[in-house]
Amino acid sequence: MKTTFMGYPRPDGGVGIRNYVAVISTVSCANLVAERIAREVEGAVAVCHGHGCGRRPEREMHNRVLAGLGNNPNVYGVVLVSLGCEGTPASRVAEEIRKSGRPVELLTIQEGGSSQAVEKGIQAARRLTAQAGLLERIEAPLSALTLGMECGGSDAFSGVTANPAIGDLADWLIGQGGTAVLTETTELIGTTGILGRRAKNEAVRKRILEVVEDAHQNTLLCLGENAARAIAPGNMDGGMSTIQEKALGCVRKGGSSTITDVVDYGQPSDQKGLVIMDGPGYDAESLTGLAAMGCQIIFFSTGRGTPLGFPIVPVVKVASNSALYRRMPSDMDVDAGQVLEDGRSFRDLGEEMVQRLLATAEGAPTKSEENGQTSYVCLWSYSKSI
Amino acid sequence: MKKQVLIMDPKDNVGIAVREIGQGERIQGENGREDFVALETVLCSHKIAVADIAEKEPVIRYGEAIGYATRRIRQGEWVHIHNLDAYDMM
Repeated sequence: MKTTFMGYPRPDGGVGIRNYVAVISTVSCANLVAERIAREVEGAVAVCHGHGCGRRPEREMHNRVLAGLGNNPNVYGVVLVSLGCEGTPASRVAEEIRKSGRPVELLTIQEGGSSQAVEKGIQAARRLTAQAGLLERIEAPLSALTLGMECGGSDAFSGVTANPAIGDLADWLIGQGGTAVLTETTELIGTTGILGRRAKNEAVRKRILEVVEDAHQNTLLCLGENAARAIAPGNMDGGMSTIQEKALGCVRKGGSSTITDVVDYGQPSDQKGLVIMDGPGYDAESLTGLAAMGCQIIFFSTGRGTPLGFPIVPVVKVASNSALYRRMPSDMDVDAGQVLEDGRSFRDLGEEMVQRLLATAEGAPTKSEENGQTSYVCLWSYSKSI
Repeated sequence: MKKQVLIMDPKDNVGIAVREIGQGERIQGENGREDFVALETVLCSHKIAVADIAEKEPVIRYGEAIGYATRRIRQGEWVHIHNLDAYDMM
């Protein structure tokens, strides 16, 4: 069995499985300029979002997330596109990324207008992609990989086929010395007993209880006392009866390893093994947090189907049922529904999952990458806009 | 050929119908249980009781309680929100 893969070495010790120049807007006002730059330069991808101003409680978190996206191992260097007057301190975000040893070019639209910023940005992005192109993949240990785990558009088979298969993959990667990240705290409500027993120590156990209780309180606040029954109508049609049932299925994708750390949304961990990242259940926001905390690859289980991917991180879509795999062939990468057939075992599927992870790590495109991927990402937000 | 019912953990008292199960259909027993008969139609991906569950007893899937029976559930019955409720988390 392989214990290494070929990846791009980064100055901070990380290893990328892609080699992008990220053109990141610091505020939504800069999105179009960032997109126009990336459109013109092969190897550059835009990372745009709807925030960067007007929200005070999230500001520090959003700053951390933007820097984290720039510091993702799949990113060679960054063109940071700022408007000039936004809430995000663009030069501080640039500094946070430079600390990793990555080249960063900072542009300010208000200094000379959109056209000038686009022109300068294209030049900067071309310089960086030329440098990035000189970098070759080198042999790296599998322990350098951080796998993000996500589920969205779940059905009753998500917890039966796709999530257990992702859990097996997480356990395998952790066995190789790597890291897997479980998130979507909302979906962990009702499972603290199980997760608490798997905590590395008392501090981690307490932290698990804290973040899940916070998510629980938030759910009660948003949904009232019926929160325990609050699952999407589609889930219920699919046969899921309670939030605990859904959560148990969700937790399955975390496998059975010891939980070594709990981090905030988009916060890197210094631990290997199974890490919990506190974060929302909304897929688009969740993927952003996983990318910002350093996941190079994300396995995403879905029962109803979703085309969602992420600009700088390959997302591997695992269909929980074969009907979905056949219905959305341009979006689904793996058919976990195979285990529902006589004679197909989780062991067979597990081997396919490992091969898929290794191939994707070495450059094989996922379906969402083939689809061209959106440049737009969602940052977790919870306060009222001012 | 599709399997009939998938049981995730030996402690489970419900299984997942992997395809639609018709009323009167014979279900292969697992984990040392005898074969039993589906008492009603169970839609694909819905739960079927693989053992009798008394009122107020936990409904177990993945080896863990997913809620409790709001009335007695017989082996072979469909299990969903009409006879299963979440534990109050307040």
